[in-house]
Amino acid sequence: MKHPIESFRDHFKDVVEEVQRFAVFVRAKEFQEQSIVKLEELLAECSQAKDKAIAEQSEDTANAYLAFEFMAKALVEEFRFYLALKADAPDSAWDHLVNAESSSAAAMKSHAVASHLDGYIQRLHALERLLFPQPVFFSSGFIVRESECSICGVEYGECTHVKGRPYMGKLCARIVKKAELQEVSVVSDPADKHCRALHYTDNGITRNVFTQRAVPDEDAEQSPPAYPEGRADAPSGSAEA
Amino acid sequence: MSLACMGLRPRKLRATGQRRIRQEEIAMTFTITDYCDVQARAEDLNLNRPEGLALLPRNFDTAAMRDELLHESAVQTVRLLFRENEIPERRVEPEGCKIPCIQENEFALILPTLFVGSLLLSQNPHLLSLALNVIANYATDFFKGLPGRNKVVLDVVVEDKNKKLSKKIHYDGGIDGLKEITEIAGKVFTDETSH
Repeated sequence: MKHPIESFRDHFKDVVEEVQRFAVFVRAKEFQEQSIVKLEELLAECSQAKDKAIAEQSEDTANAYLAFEFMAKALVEEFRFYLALKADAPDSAWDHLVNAESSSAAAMKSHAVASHLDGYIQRLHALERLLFPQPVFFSSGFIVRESECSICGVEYGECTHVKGRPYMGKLCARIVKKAELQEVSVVSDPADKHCRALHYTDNGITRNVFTQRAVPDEDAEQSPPAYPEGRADAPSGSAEA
Repeated sequence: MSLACMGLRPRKLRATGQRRIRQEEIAMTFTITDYCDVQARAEDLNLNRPEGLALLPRNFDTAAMRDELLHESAVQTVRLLFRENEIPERRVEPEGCKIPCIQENEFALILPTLFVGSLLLSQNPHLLSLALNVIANYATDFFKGLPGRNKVVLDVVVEDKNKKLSKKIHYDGGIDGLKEITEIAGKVFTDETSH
């Protein structure tokens, strides 16, 4: 008799294979929207199975379902990325692509059932490099005075849970409770790729860094030039450069 | 390409005579510099004297007073891992004293400064290897799912047998280079010119 995880993996693979032929930019958007619906149903199945494993106190199984959840989320985000590009919404597309990358990485951290995602993640990174100019990223520095463990709520470091490891269907995180901002820097390789310049000002006109369209002042937050050295057309490049 | 596609494996490291190694575009560098008198400094800052293995704040050698000290944000995780692996660590913070951490969100794993006492290096060198191995395993997990990113920064302070002199080995590079630190630490006072 097959282990429940193996049966679920087969089912997961079937659904993924069914939708993945639409995970290409040129596919019709109605098929991509239908794929999101199917993946959200799959995601709900993952969560239900995970809850059952948690109720049975089966940690390894719960962590495996957590990995499936993250994989399904990554694919949903990938489809939303294509749809946002088609809707001429590159800022939203960027966010979905970055979410797909981080969900895939979280899946790999969650359980060995997702240990094969290197190639998939490389592909997401390739899309990022090919489709977007190199963003200007920001990184903030904080002095952390109090933080707690997301698993048990005790001061982080005083319990036995390690940040980034899975525990009974949850990834451990360090929740910062009290911190002081020290500085904000421009970096090429940030921890959070959502933290980037959105607009720049050119001859008194504020423009979106991706579309270069003028942005009404009320929509634009104060932001430094996206291309401080005058690289207004940067067609390629990598956040990892 | 599907979720089931196979990933690329990192290339094997190749060392050169100049100790510059490359792994997926990350250069490995070891820099050795003189460090302060650790015992005297601990006393000046009203800290416990470090011995064996200890984790030093990043500005241990420059802070004017104890309130200015800052640990790297990975310090609690490294402590957890040491506890998990039964690696004894002498805390420099006296009971009730808490040193805040600095968290910088650029993508490198900046590890806390590892102090290695003179006796430990002569009598129990495998403990340093074990500690570095634990750190390397953590770094591997940390960078899981983040292709092309595996930059680790670690300072190791090694004390001489008279506990008066100390040297800092600054490591900046990929995960695999961490294992070389044990050998370099063992030679730092006898073979300074070789690195």
